[in-house]
Amino acid sequence: MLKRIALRLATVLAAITIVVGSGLAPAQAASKTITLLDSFDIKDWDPAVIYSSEVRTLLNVYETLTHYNSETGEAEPLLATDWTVSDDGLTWIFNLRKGVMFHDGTPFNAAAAKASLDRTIEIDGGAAYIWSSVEEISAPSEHSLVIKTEYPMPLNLVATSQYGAYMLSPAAGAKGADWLQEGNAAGTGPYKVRQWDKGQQLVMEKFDDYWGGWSDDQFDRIIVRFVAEVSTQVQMLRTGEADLMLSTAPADMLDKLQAEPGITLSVFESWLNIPLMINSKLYPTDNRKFRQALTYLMDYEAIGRDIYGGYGIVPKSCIPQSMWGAGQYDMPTLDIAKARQLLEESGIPESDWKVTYHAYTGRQEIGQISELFQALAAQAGVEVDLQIGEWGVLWDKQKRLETSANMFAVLWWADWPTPTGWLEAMWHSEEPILFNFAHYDNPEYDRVLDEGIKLQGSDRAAAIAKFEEAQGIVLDDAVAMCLVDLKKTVLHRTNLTGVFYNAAYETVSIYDLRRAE
Amino acid sequence: MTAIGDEFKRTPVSEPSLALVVRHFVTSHVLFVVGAVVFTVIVICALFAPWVATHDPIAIVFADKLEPPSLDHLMGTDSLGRDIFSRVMFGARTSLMVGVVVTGLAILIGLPIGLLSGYFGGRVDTVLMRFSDVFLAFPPLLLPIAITAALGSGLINAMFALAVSWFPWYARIMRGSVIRVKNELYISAARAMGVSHTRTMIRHVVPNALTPVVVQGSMDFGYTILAAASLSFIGIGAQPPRMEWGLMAALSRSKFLDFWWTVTFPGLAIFVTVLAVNLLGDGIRDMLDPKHKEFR
Amino acid sequence: MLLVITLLGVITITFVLSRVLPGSPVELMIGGHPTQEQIDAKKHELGLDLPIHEQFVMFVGNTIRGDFGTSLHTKQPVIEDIAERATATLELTTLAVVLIILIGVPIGVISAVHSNTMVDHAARTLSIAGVALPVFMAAILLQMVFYGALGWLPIQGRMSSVILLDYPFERVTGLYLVDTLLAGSWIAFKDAAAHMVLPLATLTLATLPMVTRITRNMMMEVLGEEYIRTAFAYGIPKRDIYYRYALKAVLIPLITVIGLAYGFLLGGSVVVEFVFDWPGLGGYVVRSITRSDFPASIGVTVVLATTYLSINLIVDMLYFAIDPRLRST
Repeated sequence: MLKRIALRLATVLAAITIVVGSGLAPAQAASKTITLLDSFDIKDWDPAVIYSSEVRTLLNVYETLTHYNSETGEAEPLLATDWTVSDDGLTWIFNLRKGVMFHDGTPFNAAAAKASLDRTIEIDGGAAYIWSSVEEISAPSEHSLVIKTEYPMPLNLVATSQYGAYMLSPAAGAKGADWLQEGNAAGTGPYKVRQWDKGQQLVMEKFDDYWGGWSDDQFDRIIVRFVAEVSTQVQMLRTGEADLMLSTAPADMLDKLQAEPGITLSVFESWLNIPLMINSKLYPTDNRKFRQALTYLMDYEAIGRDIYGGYGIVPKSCIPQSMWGAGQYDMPTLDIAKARQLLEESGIPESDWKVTYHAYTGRQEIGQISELFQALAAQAGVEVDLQIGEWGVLWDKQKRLETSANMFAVLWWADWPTPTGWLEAMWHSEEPILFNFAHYDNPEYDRVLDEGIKLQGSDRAAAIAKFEEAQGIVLDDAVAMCLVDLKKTVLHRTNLTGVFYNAAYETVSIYDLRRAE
Repeated sequence: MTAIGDEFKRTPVSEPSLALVVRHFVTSHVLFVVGAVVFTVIVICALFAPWVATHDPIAIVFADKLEPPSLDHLMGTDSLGRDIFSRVMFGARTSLMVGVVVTGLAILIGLPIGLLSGYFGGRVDTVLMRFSDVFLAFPPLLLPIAITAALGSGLINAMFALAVSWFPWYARIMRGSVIRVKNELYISAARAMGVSHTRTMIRHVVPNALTPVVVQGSMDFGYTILAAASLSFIGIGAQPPRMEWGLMAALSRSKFLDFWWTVTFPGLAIFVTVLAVNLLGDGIRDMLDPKHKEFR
Repeated sequence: MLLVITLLGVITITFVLSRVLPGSPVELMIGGHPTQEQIDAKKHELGLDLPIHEQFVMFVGNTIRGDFGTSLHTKQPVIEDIAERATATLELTTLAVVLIILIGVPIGVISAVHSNTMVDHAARTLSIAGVALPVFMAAILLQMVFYGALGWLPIQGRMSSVILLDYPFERVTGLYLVDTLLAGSWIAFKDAAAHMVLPLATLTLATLPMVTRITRNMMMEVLGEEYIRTAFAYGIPKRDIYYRYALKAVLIPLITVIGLAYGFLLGGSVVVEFVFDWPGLGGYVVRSITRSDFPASIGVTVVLATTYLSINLIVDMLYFAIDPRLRST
């Protein structure tokens, strides 16, 4: 009797499968639709506080006043057409583009720009600090925006930032952050938000009145699907169900994928590097020679060549070469003998040659690098106590000296085009600690850096001189081991043309993409 | 000359030979034997890992990165060029340790609770069982995840978290077993003779009540290994550079399609070990627990 | 009542855990560059500067009202996050339970009836093997075969992108299979169903062995009972004994297996939801805990524990109601 039930059940199940499965290959979207894949859903919808991966999709929706050209290192017109700065560097006048509309029909003008920036500064979340020099914003005429600062800052560059410099429709801003967080947006960008199925996908469609205009071969619709597993993303790319991966695939898969027909790997410059911070206030790394010794215990070439599969470069400074102001220095190389010599010279007893090392999850290469260091350090007699954890938790631990580790590797990039994104954020003395993971406190360094900061708005060459001096001090004091400058790798279908990744913006502009049929 | 009554003497039948006994045992308990053999092999691999391994398991050799299985590297290499076979052998130590520690700790916590609860009954029983029930109220894995998150990721914390989530089962089983034993005549006899509660419990109750706990423990051994592997998969269990099968499989999972050996062999190791342990445990239960005697 | 006491215990444990969680949650909540005044103000707002027993009372009160605060990540009230995701998990796990019972119970019974034959050995080995296979491997393998190689089924998600856009339907229950039918959208229904197949199969395969095993053991126990042996001695036909007397006796305790299965499924759903991008509670648990989303992880732990507790309670009551022998006690 049971056998019969089982048999009947099996038949029913089979029938259901057949019926349901009929004609259910993944529905191919229309040819003017592009499908992107990202691991994470949108976290913040408010452009005033956006500070994480949602940038990848929302950069199609919101725009900034100026745009950074990563090849020339200059700010270019976007929503502002041109700008001037006064001789004392304290007053900036931006002339705004005419005929621009927000997605909700509100016109873009100086009043709207002022409202956006005022709002960002007032909410003071995300990257609002980039406007900390601003004293007053005014809109004297409809397309003229005037910003006064307390001290000279290159606002033309600040305004290019992918965090905290977006223009939001004042009507939307008035509706408040809660309204935005429901999945609403009103920017000036080429695409507007059509539908958000939380946790599943975000759909954007062409904004017909975009000031940049449209041609026939551009994409009408963007579908961003949230797929947590990279291997799943790759499978979807292979079948053509998706066109481009916004997430970065692990480096050791790239060569194999590149070789496949239909898939292309495009490689670009990026601002990503990995400074391995060495704690200058925690024993035994509070000893300079000991720190220097550690810098000779890493196989820098292997990191770029083997761990990153050739998509990482041996750095020449603690700032990536893709950023203006990066100097070139004699960096340490793998030299166990030299390391031992320095260790002995340091005066630290051999029994104390122990360091704690924190690395966070999320990118497998960070973990691999830490294991590599552990193995190499052991050869010199240094014991490395490795602890892996979540970014938030480790960040919190590193902020406080009592819970911090001797070494902390972070993946880093700047919020806007400036070397201070590293130099100031990571090594300027601060209390309480935010990102100064090396707990570095050097008045001489602070002085040189502060001078450079004051000059970066008015005299770039002089600023660069100061910044280079600052980099030299960081490397001399060995408060960081700069492990690698990373290239950005983008996996996409071969028939997509125009794929370009700008180091300043963590995304690929869909407006510029075309699909060759 | 034959004596009267000789015909009543039975002709001694020769004792069955050892070979016959073994063969009979094996054929009637096939699965158990398979499990036992495989498990023994695994234990040997774990104990003698340094000799069984073909390479240094932590030696990073980039030149040999991600090579498929070959004669030189029986299970291929991982993304740092380390020999997977050697890492799997050393991983056996970790996994077996997890099984022993978690099950052992859970029994260590649960046994006294179940003993006191079953022996004294009444309010002691109610309080202790309510306490255990609270832990049982959490769906499996949820509590270990929460505890590990609270204590911080890592294999030690994960093992502790798993043991804390598991002990209620043993408490309940022990309690049930103790209740049964408590009513036996020899216990009343001991008490009547003036044996103290403590001595009674330790010398008379526990040894006789232990069987179901042992049976459950042997069956749970496999589950604990799987649970630890799941925690590693989520990212809160074992952390690199520890060699734990679940961690090895989890770290390589994005490579599964192109470099299948990095995931398959650690996964297979988990599979085979848990399978063997479960067969072993089932067999032990079948032999020890009278209720499960095969019915024909 | 018992439930209340146990629930209180659950809340206590969760509270203890919440105060131990690493990663300064207050600073994470404020975000950006918090000043000391902001941190202190927030702490006061959350009641974290109160003595611990007052905090506990506050916590219990909030929990009863369902107020778990706002998720650090989604910026929404945690209870809303949970409500949105609960139906996704409910759909998957309920169907899985049904399938598991429909498939697992017969196999377990047959296995017990024909114990120690090849059928039994095969079933037992398969079930033990099923338990031993890591869930994520099973998931990825299924994806590879049915999507990658054969292209028969979708690889992830609850619905296809285009269907979500062009065939909208009202979310009445949150269970897509139900809602699409209610909306009369056959295409959407087929799509939702297709997306369910692989995650459902993985979950079922992962939990089926346990149910089969337990069923077999229960059946064997029943078959070992005195009255069954007596029935055999009387010469009552074997089929009647197995499938009328024994089966009936086994079905009742099997109800408790439903509760157990649900618990197992909640655990398995963590991995399955992750691999198949199923926007349910399992994924929410993991993500909130690993990202130190303090309010969310507390909220979801309490909710899940309460749900599990309730299911088991219902099962216990059903058991009580159905088994006549217990009623007289």
